[in-house]
Amino acid sequence: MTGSPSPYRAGARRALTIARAVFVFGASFGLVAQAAGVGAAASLVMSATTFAGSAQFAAASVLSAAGGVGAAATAAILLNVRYLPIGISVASVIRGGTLRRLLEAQLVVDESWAFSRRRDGSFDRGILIGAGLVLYVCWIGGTAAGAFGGKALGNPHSLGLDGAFAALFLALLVSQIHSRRALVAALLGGTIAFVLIPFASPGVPIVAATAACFVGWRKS
Amino acid sequence: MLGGRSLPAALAGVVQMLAPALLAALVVTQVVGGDRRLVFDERLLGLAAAIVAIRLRAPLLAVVVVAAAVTAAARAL
Repeated sequence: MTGSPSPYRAGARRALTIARAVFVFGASFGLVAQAAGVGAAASLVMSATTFAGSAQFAAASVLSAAGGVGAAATAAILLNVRYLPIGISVASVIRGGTLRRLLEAQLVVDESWAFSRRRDGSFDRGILIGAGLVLYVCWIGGTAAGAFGGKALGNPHSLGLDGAFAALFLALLVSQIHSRRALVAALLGGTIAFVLIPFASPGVPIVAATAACFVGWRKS
Repeated sequence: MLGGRSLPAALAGVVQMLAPALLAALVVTQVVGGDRRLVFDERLLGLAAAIVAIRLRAPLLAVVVVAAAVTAAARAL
């Protein structure tokens, strides 16, 4: 192969734009977990195996509100269910045997998935893996910093990080809208999520909103 | 885990629309999502700033930083 730049590197470079935010987000999870009484080792294992920030936050907040472990686990699972449609759509890209798929699937999260999606709707495996690796490292590193480090990093709420994540997804959304159909899917998905937030537990609005993807159904 | 083969054409169209639908839902839940309720707070200002930055074709990092800064500033006031 001649020297076009490795897609892994390209993915990694793109992921660096949000790497710092992911790191701080991970750190805030470590801090929250600490406050909820979850030990440093446990929160690190959770980050290493889950890599799904909002699921982990949900679990930690359920625990700190004295909810049982069962409720916390359910919240985490519900929030992770949203990765099922993402998993299906990238499944054609991840090669190799089952174990390798499992490992590579760990790297598939919202940001790296959105980074790697090409215009025609297919996915660039190198970019997906490259971005995923960078984000994974930042996420674990951040969790460690938060769990062990304490207050030095500051409060994510006062740093406005939640606003940052909304902005990130908006920017990614804008870059993904290439057709009127896509715009309709976006408006419908957003509306579904909006309507469901007051009625459904965290994570369900997102999963339900994926039904909007059926505007893409084309009879051949 | 389910893949390995490419999808039939009709389904491929559906999968292509997953990203817009999901991303839109993520924007909504991140900007007005609360604990089983809608919360309209400083995040909306951050998002408004992000929209301006996106319109001005600012790079992604700038959009994110601006949104965080505006949200944080609104909170501090």
